[in-house]
Amino acid sequence: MQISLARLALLLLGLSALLFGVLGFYTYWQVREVDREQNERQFARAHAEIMRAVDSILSQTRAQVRALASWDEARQQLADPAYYGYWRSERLTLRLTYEHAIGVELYDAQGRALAEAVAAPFVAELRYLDQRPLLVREQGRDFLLLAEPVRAAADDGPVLGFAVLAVDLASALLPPDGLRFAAFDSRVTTLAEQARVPTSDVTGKIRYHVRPDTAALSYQAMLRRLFLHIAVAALLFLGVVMLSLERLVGRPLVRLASNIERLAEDADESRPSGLGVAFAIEELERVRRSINNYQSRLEVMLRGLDRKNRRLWKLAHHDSLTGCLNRRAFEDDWRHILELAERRSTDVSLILMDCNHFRAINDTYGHSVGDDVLKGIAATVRKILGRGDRLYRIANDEFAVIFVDAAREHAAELARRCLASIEQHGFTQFGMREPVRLSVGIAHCFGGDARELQGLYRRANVAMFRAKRPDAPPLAVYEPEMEGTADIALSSHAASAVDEAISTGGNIEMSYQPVVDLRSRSPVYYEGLVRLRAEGRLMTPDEFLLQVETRHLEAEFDEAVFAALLNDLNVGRLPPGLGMSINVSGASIVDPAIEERLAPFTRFMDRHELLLEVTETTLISQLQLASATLERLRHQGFKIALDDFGSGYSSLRYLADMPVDVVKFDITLVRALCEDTPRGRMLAKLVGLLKEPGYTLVAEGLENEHMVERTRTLGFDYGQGYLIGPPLAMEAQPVSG
Amino acid sequence: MSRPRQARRNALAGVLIAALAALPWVGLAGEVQRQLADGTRASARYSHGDPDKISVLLVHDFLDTADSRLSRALFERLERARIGVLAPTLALGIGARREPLDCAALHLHHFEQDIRELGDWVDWLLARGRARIVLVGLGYGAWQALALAERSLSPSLQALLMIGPPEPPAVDLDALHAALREAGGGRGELQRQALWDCPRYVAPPEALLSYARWTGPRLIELLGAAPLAVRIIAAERDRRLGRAWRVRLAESGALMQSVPAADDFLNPAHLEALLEVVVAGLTIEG
Repeated sequence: MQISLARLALLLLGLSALLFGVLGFYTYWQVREVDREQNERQFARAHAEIMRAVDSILSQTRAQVRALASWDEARQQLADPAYYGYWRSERLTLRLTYEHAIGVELYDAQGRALAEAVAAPFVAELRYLDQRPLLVREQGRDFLLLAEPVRAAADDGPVLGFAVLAVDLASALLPPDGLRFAAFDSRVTTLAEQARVPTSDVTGKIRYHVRPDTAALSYQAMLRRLFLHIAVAALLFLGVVMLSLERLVGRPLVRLASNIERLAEDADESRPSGLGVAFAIEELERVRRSINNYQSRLEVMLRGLDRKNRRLWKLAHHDSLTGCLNRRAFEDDWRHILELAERRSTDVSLILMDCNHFRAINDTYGHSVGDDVLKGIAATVRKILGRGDRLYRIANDEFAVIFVDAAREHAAELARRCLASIEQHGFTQFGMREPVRLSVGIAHCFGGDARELQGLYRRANVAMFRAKRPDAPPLAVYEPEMEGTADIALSSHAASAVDEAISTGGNIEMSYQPVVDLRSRSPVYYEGLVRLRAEGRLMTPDEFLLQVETRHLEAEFDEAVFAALLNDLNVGRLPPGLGMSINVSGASIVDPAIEERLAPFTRFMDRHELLLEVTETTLISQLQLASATLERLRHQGFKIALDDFGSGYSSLRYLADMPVDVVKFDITLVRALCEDTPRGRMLAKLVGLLKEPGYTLVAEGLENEHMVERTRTLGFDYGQGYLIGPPLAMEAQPVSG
Repeated sequence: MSRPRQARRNALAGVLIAALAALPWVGLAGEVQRQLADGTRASARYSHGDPDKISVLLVHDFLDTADSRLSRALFERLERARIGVLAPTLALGIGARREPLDCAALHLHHFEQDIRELGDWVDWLLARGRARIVLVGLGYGAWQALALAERSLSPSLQALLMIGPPEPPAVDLDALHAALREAGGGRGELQRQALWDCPRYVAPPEALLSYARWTGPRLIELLGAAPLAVRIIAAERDRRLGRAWRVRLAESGALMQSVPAADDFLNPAHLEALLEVVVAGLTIEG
């Protein structure tokens, strides 16, 4: 989750506002509580004040009326009221000392007023109720009436009558210094007009309101103002903090981020000279400087990396020898073409060119000449290709050209021109006597989709292999009819069989062809020949070895074959005393692990003589490394046999340098030996020449008795061929007699 | 019975006899309340005193009570002198009256009522075996005591001590009589006249006239015909007793005794002297 500084500050401001809101509400609530409690206290005080006032009124009224009731003259009037009117006006009124008393009347023992007429709130005749303290409302005024019996004696004796005192309640409730907690409106009771109620519930009848506590109100107002001021100040402060954060931190950070983003888009972006604010934060300024410095270093580093990348890309996509694009570039471009074909219908033509006998050229004239040949081929083809056409060297001596959306004949025409130009190229300048020739295979995929395109390389390869046939023209355009036996080697069927042999060895079945002493015709050793069983039949070496060599799986395949041979030795299939020859590819010989892989065979050397058969081509290609390895293997007890001698560019000089014990003449040489031709005679001399240093000679391909006799006569030690015995499983070998 | 037990019984009997002897003195002292013949409740302060000595009927000044300062001082002094004393408060028409009646109050009482009330108290004393009674009147009360003595036929009234008897101011008796006539059989309009010590006395015509008819000459005449021994005690400088009045009092035949240098018996400096003169006079009369 990401949040900008401005939003964070806004969020903080919002949270602070919320917090202040909550605090404000809490304070408001607390103030209200205090206010409510204060009001309750104020009401209680007011109630108590009213109670005190009422008690005081009752007390003073009672004292006043009692004083009147015990007054001698009151008894005089009750005894003789003839001049009561005079007495009431001249004496009784003067006797009222209670300032709020508005009048007094005397009543006889029967409750009749002594006066002929009485004014409200007095009544002409007292009832029982009227002899108790009363609250009276008359003519819009509230009175307190209190009656006191007048007795014959001061404190006791029969009741002579009653003195009734009326007090103006409104004025009596207001003390001289005023009420502190309670206040009254125009009327002080809740009584209805002409109501007369006992004073037992006088406080319940008093109508008053609570005087607000000005000190508390001032205090609450001060609290509210204080909180409001604090809240406003805090919000202003937070606003300033938010603006400051946004201006001093947020904007510089955004500016820095923008610069970094622009740097990501364009490395040449100029470095910011400042943060764009008047007051830069020191830490941010340090960050800016650090970023600038880092950017400078990154630029230097990026330039270096760019150079290296360009160089690496060139190295990765170009062949250092010929300057052509390499197989990686071919595969990248091929992938792009496939992607293009997925989007739209695409016409693609693929040319594969392979140098005939290039291995022999290398073997004969050395790698330097071979390299010159490859460079010459590449230069010649580039000259023919148009501008923008891309030439790939996809294997040792294999070149490819891809044409996209070109005319069908365009590829063939260019291929023909290339062949002609190669034919005319002066390769003799490199010391070569033989011409350099190319085999060219062309395959088209017009309007095909990506799935069809994926098989285009194979089809071009099939065409190229067709062109490699001795009797075939050097340029072949793929036709479905080309899918023949040779082509099967390229099939996925062969690839699967090879993969299974390498991974599990389960489909490997070893055949053994006997090599016999030509004199005794008895087997000396058996050459282990590998067969692969696939889909219920045995595949011949021609069907899968090309697959192995094409995919450069020689060492892995040899290891699987070694395991099968070891298994046969372990189970004792090979009779004791008989030797076994093991074919080792050139790639395995130069593999550093070859000695380790062959080490398990050494424990069988006391019962079997073990020969390692290698082809001369392998030995020549990496002569020194191969010779050193073979020398060490010889010291371990292995015999070294040079296989297919005469099938390549055989050189006696190389043979002399090789650690070889046995030389196996290729069938072509053996056939030539058996002919009475100059070549046969020359080869006979060669046999004699090789016998001289002590090589054991083996004649391969013996097909008739004439060849057996001829080779035995020439001095061959051993013979091998279908006449002697075909390759069979060890169990199927005839019992040696 | 053993001798010690007999001795204790004799001692107990002696104490009992002594207590019974002291009972009259203890039980008869204090306030007396009684209902007069006209039904009015009246009260008096009474001290029994020595039964062998005279008893004093102390009459307070006009509109006053027995609790006035001079009355109380005389009462207490006589009590200390073991002289029986009865100090009634005249009802003045007010039952159980306890306070002096203002001059401005409505006065419904009559002079004759006062004299009858005093006569009742004399009877009360006589009923208690007090055979020798000396009347002591204060101020105008002295004239009422004289009136009582003049009307009473009881031989128990042996003497009269008049303390500062003042001369009544002149009253328009004609107007009073006219008002009385105007009232017919009724009580008439209230009259407002100066009477004795009151500059403005409010009363019905008949009630007012009952006091107003006792003019100075009539009182002097009454004094001269007093049926018992009269002793007049006056402060030498009493303003209510003018020189002429003193002369007329002296010429009445009453024994005049002046307390030297005294001007007002309410003055504490002269009160004691008065009291001593009174006690001395009572001793003489008793």
